[in-house]
Amino acid sequence: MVAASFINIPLNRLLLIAFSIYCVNNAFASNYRLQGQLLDLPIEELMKIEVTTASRRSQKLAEVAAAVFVITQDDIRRSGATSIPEALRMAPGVEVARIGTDKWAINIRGFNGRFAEKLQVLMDGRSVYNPLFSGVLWELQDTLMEDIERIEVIRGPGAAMWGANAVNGVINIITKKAMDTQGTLLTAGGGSFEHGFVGARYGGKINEDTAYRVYAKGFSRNNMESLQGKNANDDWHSARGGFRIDHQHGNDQLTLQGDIFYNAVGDTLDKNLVNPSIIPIGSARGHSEGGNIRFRWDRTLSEKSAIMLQMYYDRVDYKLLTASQFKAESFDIDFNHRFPLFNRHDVTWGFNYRLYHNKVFDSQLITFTPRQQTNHLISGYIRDEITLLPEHLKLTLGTRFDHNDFSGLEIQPNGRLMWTPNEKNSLWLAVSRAVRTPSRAENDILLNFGTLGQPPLVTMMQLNGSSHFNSEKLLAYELGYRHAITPKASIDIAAFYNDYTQLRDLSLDSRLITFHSGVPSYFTFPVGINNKASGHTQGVEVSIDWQPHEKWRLQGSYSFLSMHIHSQSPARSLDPTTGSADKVTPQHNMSLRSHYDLSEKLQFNLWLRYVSNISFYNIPDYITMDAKVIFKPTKNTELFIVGQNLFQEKHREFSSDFIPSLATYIPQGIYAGAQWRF
Amino acid sequence: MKRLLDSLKISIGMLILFVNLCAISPIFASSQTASEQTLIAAFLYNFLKFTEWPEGSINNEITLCTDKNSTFEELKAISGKVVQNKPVQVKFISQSDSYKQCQLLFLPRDISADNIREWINLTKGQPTLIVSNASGFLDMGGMIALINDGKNLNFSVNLEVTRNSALKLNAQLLQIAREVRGR
Repeated sequence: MVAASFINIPLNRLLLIAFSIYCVNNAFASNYRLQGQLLDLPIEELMKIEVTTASRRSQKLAEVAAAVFVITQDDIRRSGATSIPEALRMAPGVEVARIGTDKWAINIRGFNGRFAEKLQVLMDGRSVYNPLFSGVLWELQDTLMEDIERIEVIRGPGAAMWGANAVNGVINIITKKAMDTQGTLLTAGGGSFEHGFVGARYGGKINEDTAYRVYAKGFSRNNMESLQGKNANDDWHSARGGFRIDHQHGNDQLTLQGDIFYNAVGDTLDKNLVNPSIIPIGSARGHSEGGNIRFRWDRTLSEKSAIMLQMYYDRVDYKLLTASQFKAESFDIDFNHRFPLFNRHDVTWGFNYRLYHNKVFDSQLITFTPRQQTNHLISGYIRDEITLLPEHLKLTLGTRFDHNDFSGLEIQPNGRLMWTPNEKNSLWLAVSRAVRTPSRAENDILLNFGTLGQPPLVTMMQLNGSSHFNSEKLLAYELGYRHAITPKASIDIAAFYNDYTQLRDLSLDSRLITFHSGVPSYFTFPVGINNKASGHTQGVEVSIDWQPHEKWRLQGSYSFLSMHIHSQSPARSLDPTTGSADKVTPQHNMSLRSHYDLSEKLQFNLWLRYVSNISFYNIPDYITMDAKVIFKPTKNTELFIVGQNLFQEKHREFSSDFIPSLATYIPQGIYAGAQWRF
Repeated sequence: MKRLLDSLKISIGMLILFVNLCAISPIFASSQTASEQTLIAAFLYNFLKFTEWPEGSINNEITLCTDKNSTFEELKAISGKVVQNKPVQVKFISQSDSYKQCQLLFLPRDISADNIREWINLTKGQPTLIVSNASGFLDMGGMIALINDGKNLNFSVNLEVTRNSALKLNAQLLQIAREVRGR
């Protein structure tokens, strides 16, 4: 009811625009030029063409009015990446920095941190954004890498479609359908940093219309070495299993999917950041476990009309004492309907309800008040893709209305214009508004995030959440151009200017310092949280895809980012994710991948990366390379050897923020393995 | 920056070396992508070119049929093309319509498996080439199955069934099929 009344206003306006456009343009016979070219290809050539996703809703890349990059299964396989975070390094504009064996900082277009909160991430339509601490706990997100169909990385705000917190970008991790993973797959291997890994999957059919798969995987990864040369105690052991059932009957598609996992991890706090006489933690080992189950129903009504209903339940139990312990559950229901209107309109609308329940146990570092809470998120959205000139000009208008328990109603509209003068060129521009809603931590946390000084004058810095903390707001302007230089070479350029207001800022009030007697005695210095900062960022991302010949493919990308944060607070340096984000973000990122097929049986892949320096953590720039050689002695067997971070023995990428974990070096690694399919 | 340049030089050097070591073939393969629907249409067009129907079974036009409930608009692109000196006509038909005039019948997987089986039974022995992208189509008694292996589109043929319907498939076509049954 609530959602319906919100939608009324823009819909009226849309109808007005729609009607006027409808009158101006008439009869442009749809043509099949592109398809015509395909028809004349011999069948041998047709067999080499890659099939884009089976979903009728998916669009060709050249038709999307947003900065999109797709990482395919083939890219993942050739890269040698053993985890989703490592695979994300392939996408331009995405900053992936490893903090430790099981910890990453990942964001798009700046504001990176271990709890980078301006990025929405979905795995098969299930949001894995953590509303408790905000951000994504990457160590919990995994699946059999061979089952990933593709990863779609959308830079820029996607809030009108995907909701709050899709501020700087959205990452969609999409696994294959059960029908596409039939048969048995076994993989195993090991090496220096990747101590060992195994994976198994079996796909079969229950009947003609119903396919399923089950999988299990496990791995063990080495600990990292701290800057002081000590063992960071963060070796990681993980086990995971799951299933997927797809049923197709007439126009209906049903999917049931689930996973469970167990992770054993560890952490060591930095004695220089937290005085061990005040917080006697040192090293901690712990584990996390959890699972999810998802049901999705799609009904295709016609070529451009469909309905979708999805529900999921997700839970995680996280225990890394004495640093933190929490239990979190979420339930989500999502409905959407797409239909054509007056010939030129492609309308999608829907609503979403999400329930979060979580409980945080007191630890030496973290206390939540209240410990336990249930939160609700209700949203409605509408989007209209209007064809202004068939095949040449398309306007998309959309907005989303979210209601959350912390900042109330949020309205996030966007407009996108796509101009395709001919098949080789396309130009798009977009203006969007997006918000980053407060996390429960920003409301309820008491975090001991570091100590200053030596006894007897030790001061404990204590971050206090505030119920007055409001959403961070973004107004983004984007421009993009795609050009197919030849059928074998293309370039994609995107530029943006992001204007942020009401950004998180920290405040210090020396009047609130309190003295704690005892042995040892110490002061606590409370740090407050408010929305007084602002900022702007600008940047350019370029990616090039070139196939100089049949057996060789090169993919290169470069991103430039410049950030300016405005804050008067002396405490801004205590918040690397926001207040000091301009000093935490590397300005230049480069990646070059070469895929070479020496023969049908031998593939040679190289991946070169450059990341410029991070002044805030004194991390120098680095250049590194991964290489993977794949040998296929028979049709069903694959042997591979992978070298990671080849140029130097070790390098730094990032440091942990908010949780004062030891800073580590990312080591060189080599691993080998084999894969069988039958 | 100097380190970056040095490393870049080494890497580029390695790449160039690598390319020179391997003979560069002048043949450029296609790196295009296309939707499954568009590709299927192109495959069907090719099948029309490489199939020989029994004499007298074709009138003035070659007719490509598909189920009425299919949303396969892409097939219309073939309409009007000329194959074996005859124009192609595309028809959306139901099981009660006259299917005997169809030279090729395409059954998309989104009409249920039961529906597909019914069509196969109905057209048994007829000189109509039956093609589908449904899984397990050859086991159901189909003639050509289109298979999306997650990356590309392939096809398999059941010669036993085509033979029973007096259809002849070009040897070239059989050579590139992923699987040929009943040879």
